[in-house]
Amino acid sequence: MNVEMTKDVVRMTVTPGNPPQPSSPTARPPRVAVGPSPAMRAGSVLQAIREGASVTSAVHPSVHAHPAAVDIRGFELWYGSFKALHSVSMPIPRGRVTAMVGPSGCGKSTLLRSINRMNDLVDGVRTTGALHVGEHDVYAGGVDVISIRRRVGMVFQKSNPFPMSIFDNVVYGLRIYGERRKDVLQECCERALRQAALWDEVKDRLKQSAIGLSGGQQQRLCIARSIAVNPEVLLMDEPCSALDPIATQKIEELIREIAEKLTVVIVTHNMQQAARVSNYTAFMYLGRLVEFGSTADIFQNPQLPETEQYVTGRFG
Amino acid sequence: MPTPPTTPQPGAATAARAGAGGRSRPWGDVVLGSLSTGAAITIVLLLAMIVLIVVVSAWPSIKAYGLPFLTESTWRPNELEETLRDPQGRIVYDDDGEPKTVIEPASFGAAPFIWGTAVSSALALIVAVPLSIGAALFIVRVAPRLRIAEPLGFLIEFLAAIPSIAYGIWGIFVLRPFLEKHLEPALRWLLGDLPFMRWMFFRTLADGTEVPIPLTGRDMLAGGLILAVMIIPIITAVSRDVLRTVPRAQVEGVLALGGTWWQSCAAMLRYGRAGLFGAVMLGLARAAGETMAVTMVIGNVNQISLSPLAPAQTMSSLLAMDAGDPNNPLHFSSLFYIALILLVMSLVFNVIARWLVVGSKARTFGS
Repeated sequence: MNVEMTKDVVRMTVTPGNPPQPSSPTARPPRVAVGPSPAMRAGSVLQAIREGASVTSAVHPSVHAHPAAVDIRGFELWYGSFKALHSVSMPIPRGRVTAMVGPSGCGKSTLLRSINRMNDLVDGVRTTGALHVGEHDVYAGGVDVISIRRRVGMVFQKSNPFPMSIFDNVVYGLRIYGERRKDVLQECCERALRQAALWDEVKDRLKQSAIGLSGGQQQRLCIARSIAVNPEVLLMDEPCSALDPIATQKIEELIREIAEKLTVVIVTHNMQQAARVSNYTAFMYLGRLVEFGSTADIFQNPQLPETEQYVTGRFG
Repeated sequence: MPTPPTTPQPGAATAARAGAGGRSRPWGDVVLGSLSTGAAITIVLLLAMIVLIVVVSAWPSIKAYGLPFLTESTWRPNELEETLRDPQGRIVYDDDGEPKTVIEPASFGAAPFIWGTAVSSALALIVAVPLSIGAALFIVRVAPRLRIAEPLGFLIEFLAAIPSIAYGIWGIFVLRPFLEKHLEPALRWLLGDLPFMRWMFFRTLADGTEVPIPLTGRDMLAGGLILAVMIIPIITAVSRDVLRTVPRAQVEGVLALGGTWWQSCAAMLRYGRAGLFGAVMLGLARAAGETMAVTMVIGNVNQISLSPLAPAQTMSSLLAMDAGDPNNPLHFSSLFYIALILLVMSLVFNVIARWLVVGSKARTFGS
């Protein structure tokens, strides 16, 4: 039986006095995965979730091959009285692209926005459990939220260039951190725009308004703006959902390139996109992490038939 | 034998009605349609007639003074009988030993009132704009968390609905004594001894001597402050609406980059800057046209003085003071000339403001 009350199992990993050490492979959390059982009927896990039961996440051992850039342990989140995340535990591997997939309302965006504490902006949000970015406990009391957000960049569903010049957009983060030296700003601007594969298109009009760029260019500008401040992790919340296929293709190439330098976590509704850009994929459903493993395994050899049904488009 | 149907088929009847409807409209539609068209035309005609009457009535003054009316600082509705003096300043006597007199004709110029309107409105904006935009920011960014955005918004709209005479009464009985007894003496105590602030507390007579300006509380400062109180609601309400249209993604974009709360507010203000400027222009239009409350506290002296502590007169307060009993046709006509200036000014302010506010909303929703 793969459905059981496993809250206690997960909780064990987050007891006080036993702080997680995400970068140390010896401190790996106990794997709580459940292998596919012959007796399992397709849909039974999702049915159990719909009935409100706690389920064990099927976390593949392969996700521990890299040290975790973001380590989430027994993380739960409430919007007021609504519980949006149920004891999510997942180590997000460093220097890799991790995709979060799942039907609308499954909590993938909520989980993504928990990593840089953007959920703080919503009234009545409460959390329990632990969420570490590198060595830093994001939800520790008295933590400097601003310094967390400087380590964790974010790209939004809809491009949000500021109403100022392209140059000013890219160096905005540096400027609000107090950088004033012109040569430093110019150097960072060029480097970020080159990384975002936008330099050749805009190098002659850096002083022009960013609002005049096309949708795809605006989104790449937002990526450039995020990576200009050298974050450790880049969160992307459906970054291509408002773009045409060609612009989407460019962003996807870009994601694969920047992932060599930092950790990318991307939420997407597009299974092909997850398969194309990510190294790891997490499947979520109604606030639970259902299965998390390498993208190849999730798409070709998932442990749970529910995951296979979802990623092949037969449900969701 | 089947009897032929005596009534047309239902389908045929419907078709017939539809056909009739296509050719002639029901009479109710016609009546209501012409009534509403007539109402719209009436309003346009009313406006056209007002503008026409103002221009026609102002015409003698426009012909007499032309554009220099705007810069002429004499406003003398009466003829003035003056003793004639020779170039050395001695009185000239006639054969009977009586001083000779000359009659100076009435003369009109709008400069003191344009000055009064401009300076009092500027003072009002200096006080009201930071307060209003600060309040709007509070309503949009802080109040929702405290669940007081709605009551606050209602209070501010209520402030805008208070009749201006109520503000005037408050101005006379509260603001004026406060200025006279506390604020203005404090200003003089604080700044009066500074050599570069003498312009504020002294005026220079024709013979070059400086005399202190009496602190009465009925002056440009009082006018500016009461205008500030009166335009805060409209600037706050429009700024709040402008700030509400700033996309959430703009604020989140700044926060996600590690910006502070204040930096995200600054981004909000920057995004809405055109609309905020429009809100300020709407406030300016109201300040420039506001009459009763200002008339009651501004001191009603037709002069141009640099000092905000000197009494003054605005265009609208002059109209309120003089319109009851014009002394001569040119006085009457000059009042209309001033009304025309006010009308054109308000039109310009409103057009600019609407263009900015509506334009900023279109930019927000269009992109």
